[in-house]
Amino acid sequence: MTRLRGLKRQVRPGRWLIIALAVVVALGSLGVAYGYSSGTLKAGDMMAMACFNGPFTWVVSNDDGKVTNICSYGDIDPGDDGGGTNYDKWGDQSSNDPSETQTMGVECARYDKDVARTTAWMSSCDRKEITVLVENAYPSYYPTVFFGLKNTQSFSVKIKSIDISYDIPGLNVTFDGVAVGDVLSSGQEVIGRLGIHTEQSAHQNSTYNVKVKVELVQKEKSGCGWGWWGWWNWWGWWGCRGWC
Amino acid sequence: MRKRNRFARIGMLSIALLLSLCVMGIGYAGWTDTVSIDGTMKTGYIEVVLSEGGCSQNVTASIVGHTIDIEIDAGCKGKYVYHNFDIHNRGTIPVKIQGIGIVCSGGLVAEVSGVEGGTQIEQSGVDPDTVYGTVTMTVPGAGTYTCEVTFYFVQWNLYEK
Repeated sequence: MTRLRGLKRQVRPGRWLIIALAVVVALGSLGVAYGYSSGTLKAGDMMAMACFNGPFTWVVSNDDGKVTNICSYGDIDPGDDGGGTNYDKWGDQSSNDPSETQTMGVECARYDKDVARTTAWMSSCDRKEITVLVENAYPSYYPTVFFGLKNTQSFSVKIKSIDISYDIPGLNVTFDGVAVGDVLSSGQEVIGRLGIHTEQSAHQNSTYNVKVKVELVQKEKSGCGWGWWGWWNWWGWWGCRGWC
Repeated sequence: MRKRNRFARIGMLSIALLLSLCVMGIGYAGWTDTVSIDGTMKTGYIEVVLSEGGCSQNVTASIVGHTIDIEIDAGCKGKYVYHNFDIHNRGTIPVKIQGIGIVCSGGLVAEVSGVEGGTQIEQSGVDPDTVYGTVTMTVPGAGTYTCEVTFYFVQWNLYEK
């Protein structure tokens, strides 16, 4: 008993255990807080400050009246020349209406009239949102929007989910170039394509909404083994770059 | 003994730090981000309006939708009577006449001139957003006759011959 009391006095695990737990909880909380904020702080706020280098790198509509050239890809939407053969409602702001989805760099079939128009633009400074506006659409009108999606992080990301929703039955929305499960390594860019086909069941003189949400997650799984690498990869790189 | 105690403290702190950094790793792995494309689609519309023009004596007509109802009080056989009309596209989408249906009573023969299946009528404000036609009829004899002329329109690119 005397020996045991002596050992207890020597180690005093109670006090140190409490201190250790406090450190664990404190740093653990820091880790959780960091984890929560990184989704918005890193990809949102930090980029919002700089206003460049966002996930969407460019966006092109094939019915906005101009052929757009993107470095390293060339002309994205040949045929979008601003003309209207037998009718030109929008002048040089739009072209003969596309009647099929377009393949990047290849002309697509078009009607001989410029009745509808589609414009697309980057709608947020952090380049996380694209807005598409289709005007005076009619059944069989089929514009295509191309965009670049780049992994601007220092680690690989995976496409976790793609959610396409629209409030009109019979509208045919196609989305390709980006698929669930695709992995984008750091700095890699993929080209996505959104096609909006107005079908016969669309109502006249109406406004409809289409939304595509792409969720990106860090590719690697976590765990204690990953913790160190993850910590350095994120904190070491971004922490140093951002604040040091 | 004192030395050993110090090592124990350092060991515990190291374990605590290691666990904390592991928790940070879990926090980090929770990284997720969402990008989106928001589309708004505004559809155009077709609005074709039929209006009466002039007509010959003894002919009365009324228009309901895209149908002209004609009534003739003919005096004798073979008399030609006519009724003029115009078709105006008030919409934002060009249209074409897909077909014309004619149903007459008592052996009356009617035909439409000026417009035909495939005639294009541009949207409002674009020439020609109005086209003009005539219904010409031949009566088989004295009497009262009716004739119904119906126009079918389609969006210009959906016209089928």
